[in-house]
Amino acid sequence: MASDKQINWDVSYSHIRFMEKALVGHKCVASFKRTRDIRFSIERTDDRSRVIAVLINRYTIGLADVIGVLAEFRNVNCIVAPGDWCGYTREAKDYGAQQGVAVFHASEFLGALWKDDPLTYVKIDLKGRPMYAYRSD
Amino acid sequence: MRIALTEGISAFVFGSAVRDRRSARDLDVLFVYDPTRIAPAMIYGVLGPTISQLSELSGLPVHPVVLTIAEEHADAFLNRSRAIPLIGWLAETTDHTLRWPAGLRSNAII
Repeated sequence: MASDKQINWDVSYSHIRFMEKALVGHKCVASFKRTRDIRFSIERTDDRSRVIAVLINRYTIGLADVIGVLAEFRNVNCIVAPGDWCGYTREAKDYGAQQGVAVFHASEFLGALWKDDPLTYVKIDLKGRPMYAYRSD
Repeated sequence: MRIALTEGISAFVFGSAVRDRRSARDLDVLFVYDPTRIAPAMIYGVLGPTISQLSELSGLPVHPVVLTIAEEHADAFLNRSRAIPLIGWLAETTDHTLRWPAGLRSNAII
């Protein structure tokens, strides 16, 4: 555990509603259940594996955020920032991948739900080049 | 100049509170820490009281971004966000002489 107290992930009700609406309208989502406010257990269509995502509101997700989420929540495989204005560091993305956890902002996450293994999802541009939400890009 | 809140941590304000500090509705704070002094797994525990104090002092909800020195350098966050040292922002914005939190008194300039 990162500390005795849980970390305040700054997720507002509007962030949660955005996520819920996006999941309801997603063709790969069969059903989902939200627990502890920000943890989404998502059953997917067509035999795709279950996704357990935690929503955190960070302008930039850093290594400490990934470690904090993994300490606080079990069996997580996605960490999601609520807007496309959000990003993450390479360290956060890489550490998450090492732990089997994908770090995304919102639209990346919705794209990743189409993949059998969301961890392998990379957004690409019109020329097929990978696009990450690293702040330095 | 960087001003450290406690040894191994520097703090900066960015976003709306820098652009128009009087009408800001929240306080975006970048904390940059040295992971050789404070492990990433412990940093939120260390920062928790400071974040609470900042929120009380400013009267604003604090939205932290917490990065290692290497993460900040790689992403050039300080340059891109035009962040300013937290202590300077507090001094110009709040009645800090009356309500300066104990945890912020021991600042060291690095």
